Amino acid sequence: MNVRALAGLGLLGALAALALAHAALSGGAVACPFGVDPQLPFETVCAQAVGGLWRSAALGLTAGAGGCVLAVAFALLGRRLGKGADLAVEKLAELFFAIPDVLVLISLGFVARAVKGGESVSLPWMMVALTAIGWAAPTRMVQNRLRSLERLDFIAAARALGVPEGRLLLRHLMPMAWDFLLAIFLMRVPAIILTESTVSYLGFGLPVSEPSLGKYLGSHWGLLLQGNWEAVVPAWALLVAMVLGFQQVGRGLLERSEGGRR
Amino acid sequence: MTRLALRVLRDLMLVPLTAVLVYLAVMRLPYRADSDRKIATADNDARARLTAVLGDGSLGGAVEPWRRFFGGEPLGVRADPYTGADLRQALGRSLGLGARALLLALGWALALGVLRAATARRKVAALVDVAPALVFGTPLFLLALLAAVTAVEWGVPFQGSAWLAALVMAVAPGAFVGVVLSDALRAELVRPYVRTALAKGCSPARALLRHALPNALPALLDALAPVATSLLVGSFVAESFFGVQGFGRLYVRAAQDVDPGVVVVATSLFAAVLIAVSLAAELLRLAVDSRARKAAR
Repeated sequence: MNVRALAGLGLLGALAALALAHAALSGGAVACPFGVDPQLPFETVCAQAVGGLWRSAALGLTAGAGGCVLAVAFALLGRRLGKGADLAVEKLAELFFAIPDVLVLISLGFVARAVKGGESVSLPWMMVALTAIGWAAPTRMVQNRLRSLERLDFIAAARALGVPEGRLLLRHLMPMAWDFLLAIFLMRVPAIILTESTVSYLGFGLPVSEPSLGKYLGSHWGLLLQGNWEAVVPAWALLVAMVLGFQQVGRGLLERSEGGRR
Repeated sequence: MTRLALRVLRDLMLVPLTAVLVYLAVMRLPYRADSDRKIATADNDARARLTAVLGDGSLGGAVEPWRRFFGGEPLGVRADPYTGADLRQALGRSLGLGARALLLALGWALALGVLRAATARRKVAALVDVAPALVFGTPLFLLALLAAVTAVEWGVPFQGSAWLAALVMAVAPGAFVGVVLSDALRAELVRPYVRTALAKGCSPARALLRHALPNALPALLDALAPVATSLLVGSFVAESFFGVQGFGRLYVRAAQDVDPGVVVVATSLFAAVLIAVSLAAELLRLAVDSRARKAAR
């Protein structure tokens, strides 16, 4: 594993340790050094920030995994059904990829408000929405990787020996693509967290009572202008650290995967 | 030439198609007519009000929002509705903001790209890489927040400041283009013509700026579409944060207030902008890259 991935893993490990330490100490033995949340005085800043960290991570990991599963399914389906279907999947993914995630989520937020009313959406709703918009980029990447793997000699040999297409995909090609898939999954997670935080900031995210890091920052940023850094900076630092951690692990694994292939 | 014309025609057809699809989808939503939603009227007949302003929801009715947009008539279903003229004015403001942000992004991208290429394989390279990593790891509204706090400390009013909004919008696309440019520069710097120039006594800085840079610039065409996307998302956040009365802010407010007419027009216009940028990038590539022209034949 390269230095970049190790640094990212270290950052994520430190965040996990911090969150677990907070859970262990939140019984009241140690007071939160940043005080109480000025907008919800029965919650501490630490509880809000760590709670937001868990929710943002859960959203990122679930929607990232869902998007990657959809991507693999679409890419395999396209290859299984032939060249025309493969091209159709590629064009559809390109079309979806060209539409900004934030624009789609704002539109979905408009639909949710029009149909259901209310100012916020639930965690499962946000997970489904983020999964639904997050399949396009991984699909193109998986398609490209499968195409490049198909040019390898052992695949040509297997094909010449009469190995059926389905078996070729699942037993020969996919095992070669797992490390790459893990890398694109880990790189999707920070993108999803950033998208969710932006949408939450704009007022289309989770409720204020159960905020993600983006929602918390979106509803508390004004405090910073009043000089109240303590209420804002912990959540800010956790968000940047988590995004950077996932990004570095993902890029490190991708570099290793690309290097291995060469 | 015929293939190119067909491609242009296909892309141009996507614009009205998107507009019609968005209209049909928005008109078919089962709107909830409760008192706290702006769409509800005194007689609580949301559907009737919607139909009166935006047409009957049929295929032919799709022209109604656009007639109102170009005619400057009321488009919203709120008590104090946005008019087509408001939308056009906001669109003009946002395009101006986008142009400023693009200029700032290109300046920052050029500086970052050249610096990254010049420091490649040196000890400071890791330090230079920290800047784009931090930018890509920070949500835009936090950058806006930093800019606002700095402005307050310097005694500069940040509410309504188009330049501050443009500056914030430029950060992420600038970093992205800078990384693309530096990668292209690194690829050019190891080519034989650069080594020949260096062997003939050309200074490294001159080889980078006069020889490698002009050949690396076409690589930026690949970055045009992501830059447009990034600027669009940036306009939602920066205009909302800095209170600039632009199209992005208007769209966010319309979606928050459940204002279908504005959402139909704005979503279609955003799609049109993205399609136009993608088409422009393709045409520019054909104009400057002979290999792309050959492949298109």
